Amino acid sequence: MNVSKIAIISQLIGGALCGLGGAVEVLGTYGQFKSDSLLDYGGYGLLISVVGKNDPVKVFLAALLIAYLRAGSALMNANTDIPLEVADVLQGLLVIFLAASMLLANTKHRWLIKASSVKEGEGA
Amino acid sequence: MLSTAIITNYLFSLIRMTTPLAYGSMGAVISKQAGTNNLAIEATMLMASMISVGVSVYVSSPWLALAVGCLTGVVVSLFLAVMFLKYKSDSAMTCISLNTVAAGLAMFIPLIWFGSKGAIQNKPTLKFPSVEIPVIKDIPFVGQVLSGHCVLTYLTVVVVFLVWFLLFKTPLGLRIRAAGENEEAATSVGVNVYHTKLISFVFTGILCGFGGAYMSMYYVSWFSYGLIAGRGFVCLSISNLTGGRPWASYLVAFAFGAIDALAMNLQSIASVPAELLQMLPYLATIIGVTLVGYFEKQRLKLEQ
Repeated sequence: MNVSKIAIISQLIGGALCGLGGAVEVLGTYGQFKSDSLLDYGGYGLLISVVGKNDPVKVFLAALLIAYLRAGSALMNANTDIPLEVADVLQGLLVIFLAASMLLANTKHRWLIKASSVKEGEGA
Repeated sequence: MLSTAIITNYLFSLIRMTTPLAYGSMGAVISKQAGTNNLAIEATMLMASMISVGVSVYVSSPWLALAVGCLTGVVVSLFLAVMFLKYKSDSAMTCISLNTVAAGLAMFIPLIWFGSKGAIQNKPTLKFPSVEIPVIKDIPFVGQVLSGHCVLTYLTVVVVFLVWFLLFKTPLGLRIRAAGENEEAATSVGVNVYHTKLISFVFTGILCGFGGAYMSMYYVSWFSYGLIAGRGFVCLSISNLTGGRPWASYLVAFAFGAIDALAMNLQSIASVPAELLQMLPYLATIIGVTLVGYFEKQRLKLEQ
């Protein structure tokens, strides 16, 4: 297999999908181009791929989650005094803790040991 | 058209613009040498600039505010360090998220603290003093350019020297570089990689604290959420371009400071959009890193 060829092709596909995302937003939602209308969307895309652990189906669900958070924060900002940026903080912390793969690994390990020892106790 | 006054003004603002880049890039150099891939220089500088100017409302000495700013930088860095080293998180993702978190906090901490969203303004904040250098200040052209800067600006030379000394002349620097180069090899000769990297994060935090405090307590005397404006990323570019060499980074910081100053001064004399020039550091990085990679590859081919 030609690794660099595959790498270039996957980059091209990725670029095309990004282009699609940008075009849909500009042509479909706004109908005009402003330099700040797509601010940070690329960053959200990266974060979503981490939340969804690079699995297309999970990524779709993760995108729904982030979209829910953003839309909710806009509503919250309109109806209360809480600033929009709470969503930024929340979203960032969410991704930081999801990306920390070892955060609860020890707890999980201990929990598994406990569960298995209980089972063994029942068996005996 | 180019009178002496314009040139002196330009060179003066060049030095002024270079200072935060010098501090930030030294932080980036240490994290580069330690191999920690710290992309959150921007977040660290932003938090440090906000907290230091906020604290300066309550204290009497700007140095105390600077110390608190550095402490903030260290706290942000240590948070990252724990995430990276203890919980093995994906470094790029954590840093990008941390930058988002910092941008959000920069909007709402001032709101809670001072009641104005995303800004600390019209408050009795402190400023670092400007220094006139005794003899040099009387030399016509040179004096106008070199004299009258912030104390922290002159301190950059010392700091760059200290970073160079730390990295290349002390046992700790050797350990930091060894941990960055090859973790397994470093561990096998008895270097505690975890502690070494933790220390490198502390240094990065302190240096970013200096850069952030300079921005909010000398460059301007207020804080707004867009104060750092991508300088953290320019600092990362600098350290990547030079491969983590302190003195070379200092020189490149001057080059990028020159572009920054050009972008600012050109607006007043010519109709070149500033954004076009502000793009240059990033463009230079892409081209530079590609060229470095290309020549490395050629060199490896020749050696084979």
